[in-house]
Amino acid sequence: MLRLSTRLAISGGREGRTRLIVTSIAVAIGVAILLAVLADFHAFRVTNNRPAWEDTTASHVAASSADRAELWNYSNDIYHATTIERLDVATLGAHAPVIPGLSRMPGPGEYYASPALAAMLRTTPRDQLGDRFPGRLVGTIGPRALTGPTELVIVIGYRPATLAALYSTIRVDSIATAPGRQIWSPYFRDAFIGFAIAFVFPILILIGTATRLAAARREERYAALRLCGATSRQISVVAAVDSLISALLGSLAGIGIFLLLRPTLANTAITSQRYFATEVTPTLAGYVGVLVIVPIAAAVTGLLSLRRVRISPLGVSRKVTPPPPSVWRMLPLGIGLALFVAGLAMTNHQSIGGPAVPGLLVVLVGLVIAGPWLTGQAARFVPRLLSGVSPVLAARRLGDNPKAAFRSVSGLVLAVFLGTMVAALLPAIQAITATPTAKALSNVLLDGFTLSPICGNTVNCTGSSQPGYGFAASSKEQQQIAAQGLPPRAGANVLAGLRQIPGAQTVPIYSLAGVGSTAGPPQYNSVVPCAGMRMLHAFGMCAPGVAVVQANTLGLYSDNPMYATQPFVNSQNPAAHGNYAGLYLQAVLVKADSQATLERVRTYLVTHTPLSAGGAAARTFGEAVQVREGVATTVQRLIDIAVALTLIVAGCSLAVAAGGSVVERKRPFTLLRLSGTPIGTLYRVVVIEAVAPLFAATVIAAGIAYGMSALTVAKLGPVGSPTPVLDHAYYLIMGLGLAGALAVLLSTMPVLSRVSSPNNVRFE
Amino acid sequence: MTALLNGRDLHRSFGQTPALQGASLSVLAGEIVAVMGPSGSGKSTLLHCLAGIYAPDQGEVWFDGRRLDQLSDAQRTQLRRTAFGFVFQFGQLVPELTVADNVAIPLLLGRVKRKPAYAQADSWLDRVGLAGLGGRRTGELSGGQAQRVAVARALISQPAVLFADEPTGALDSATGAIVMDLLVSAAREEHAAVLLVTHDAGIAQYADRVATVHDGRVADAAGVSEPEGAR
Repeated sequence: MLRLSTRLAISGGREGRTRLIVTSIAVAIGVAILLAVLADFHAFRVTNNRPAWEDTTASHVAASSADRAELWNYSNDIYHATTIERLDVATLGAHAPVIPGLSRMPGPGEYYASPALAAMLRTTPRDQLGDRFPGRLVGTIGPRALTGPTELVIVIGYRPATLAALYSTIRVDSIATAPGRQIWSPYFRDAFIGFAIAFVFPILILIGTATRLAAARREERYAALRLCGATSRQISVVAAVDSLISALLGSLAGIGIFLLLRPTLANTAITSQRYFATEVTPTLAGYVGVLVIVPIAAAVTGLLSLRRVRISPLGVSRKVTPPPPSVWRMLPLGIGLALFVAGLAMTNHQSIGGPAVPGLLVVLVGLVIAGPWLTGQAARFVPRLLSGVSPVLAARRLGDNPKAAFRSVSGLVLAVFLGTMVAALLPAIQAITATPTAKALSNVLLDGFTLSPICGNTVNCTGSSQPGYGFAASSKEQQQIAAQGLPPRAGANVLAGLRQIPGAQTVPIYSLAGVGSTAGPPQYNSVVPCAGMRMLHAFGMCAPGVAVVQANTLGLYSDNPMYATQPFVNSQNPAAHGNYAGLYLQAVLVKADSQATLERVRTYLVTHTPLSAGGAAARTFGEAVQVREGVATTVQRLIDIAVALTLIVAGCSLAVAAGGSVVERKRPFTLLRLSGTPIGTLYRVVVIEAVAPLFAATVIAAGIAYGMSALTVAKLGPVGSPTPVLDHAYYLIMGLGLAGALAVLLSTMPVLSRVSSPNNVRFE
Repeated sequence: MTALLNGRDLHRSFGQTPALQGASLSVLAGEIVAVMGPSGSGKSTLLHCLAGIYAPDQGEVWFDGRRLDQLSDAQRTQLRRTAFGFVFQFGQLVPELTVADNVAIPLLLGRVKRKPAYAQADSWLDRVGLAGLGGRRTGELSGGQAQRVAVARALISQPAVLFADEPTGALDSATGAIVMDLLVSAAREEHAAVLLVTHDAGIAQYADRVATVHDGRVADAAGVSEPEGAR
């Protein structure tokens, strides 16, 4: 029986071969995309689960053998808005621990750099980058220490005495091996899983549609076999083998397509960073799973499709006429919306209300459930809105089985929903972050010298040696630096050096302690010269005639540009008296006239502020915005990819479904043409059958998505946030996507012309 | 003489439309019976009930001493494979398969080894005048050739009864005659009874006996004897 079934599947003449090829191609596209998602998720998981040497902490047993210890000072630097992970290290003995990716720690005057940073050092003027790192390059850091080929990492060797003088230096006797704490990783992981699930749905629809391609024609063959005495079980075997073979061929082809595209995929930064090419691959279980699960799923789909029909020796009949979808199908959608609104009501600036995310998922599922009912309603209106016989014929078929009609466009509806949400939400979020003040300060660099509990320079905020483990931050002077900044003499030297850099204008911020005030309430923590504020007027202006004011600059160090760029000076700020030049230097604001100047300033600050207690690198407010936007951009990229892939898959589903429906109706279409129906009328029938459910469901999906986005912005954004506006890019992407789907649909028209040609009348 | 196949007081409706209203008909072993009548009289429905394809709403169908209408679907399927053969007007060949495959299907479904199954298929193709065409697709055959393939397939499992519903309905008269000559001679050689539904009086002349159906009843069902085990 298996042999006969295989024969039926693979040697079915031109029509059979065409069906096999189309089904296999459809499955191959789905499998290739599925493998790509699995591959990137695997790379993401492996990268995030690697031992995070950056999280190494101070040893708690100070008396441990010096032979097995080292001094460790981990910090972050920035170059052209890109984070550089920097480890300054001094081994205390021959058996000091070594980070992964290195065979030994660098000695004094040596450093190892990641390949990307080493290349950058070779091509960048030293005063902009290379001068920040004392010593010479003695080798590159291996992949085991890196998250990807583009990561910038440097490990610099020192003498112990030199490193011990730095504020954040700690003593370690073992390197951390646990996975790192990634602030955004859980979100990306959840996004990956969420979109993988959302994306699997259209793929299953595609595979299901493809394996049911021309099902009615096949079922007629099964009836002929039943006439010859084939049992129902034998028919099931034939149907299962038929679906299984095409899915297996498609899976193999899909793996081939994926392997061809894998190098391109490995070179693409999906989540803002590139992964090592060797990790951008599904696991062996992923390959085996695809090769086993997809064909089995296809076989099950083939068997399930038989349950809906009764195959007797005389032919095929529907077991029951499916009842029309009822309005109750809108209920899950309503529940999802209610959950989402309830979740928003519970949302505050710290956390999103619990029911919001489940509500979003229920809305997604609800759209799919409600689709057939909406299709049925659209079918009722089509003949009223459009004239001619085509709408009548199309409406009849849509009304007879709206579930089948909607199934072929359900993937597109989900893509439209997700795309609309992203298009409405993310620009609004970015507008909130990139305030006009932040834009005005985009070339102003902030470097704080106190111990500031912020993490404003990197996406991940990994690492950063924490003082307080008893090695370096024990002296009174260092404690004062941690509280107030650089000592007056060191601060004056830094300011003098900065003034020597052409194109850089510096505004110092001094710590308030020890300065007399006229009426300053205790919340003021800084002293700021008013001459500098005129250059940085986005931060506010002093009252006329005042030379120095007290100010509260705590907001300046927030990692959120919306708060960091709030004005901290106005005419109400009390004047400060006394010798402010003799105060501790809390921070500097430096306005640079070019990117090169900016990097020179950064290089100067890195090399001339060894006493600084600030763990974070000097960064501009523009870079702070970029960091924030980077997260949103990554999320947007993920969703855009999901939407694009969904559009591709859903377009394929639509084409397969439309082509299959044409082949299945060869007889009635041919009879209509024989009776004088113009081919154009039949074209319109097929197009209306696809467009009516698509239009009805996408309008609803886009409307709901926009409404949910507007509610979210209104709830999460500051008072007065504008209503989200869908920009031209949205209309372009959605328009191209839907036009592409329509073009794919129109590509099946030649099939309709050919199969319904009166010249080919032959009802076997 | 005992009837091989006997339908008694058969009723069958499709929705509100009655197709059979107390039809009775018997067929003796090796007998060729033609069923005639106007369109919509219930000829094909009678054939389908007697072949176990339809279950009658009322009445009994006996085959070879067994109550056919009370058999399970699996048992009736087995009967179709081993004891019955079918030739319809069109639509009974599987286009994905070759001519030889189509003829061999009943044997392959009955788990006969491929080699003997295809040997028998070749032999039957030879008997119906299609020697050498076993490798062709059914779509490459003429209407008459396709019906001869159907005859070969219907008889390859040596059925006791051959059910033929308008077997020449889609053929011209000359080709129809060739097919009927072949069908009748082959059936007689195999000692198979034939129940032949037709509205063509010329075709009905091939039969030993003609039964006429009107309004769901057999008008002249003379010569019926009680089947074994019926009472």
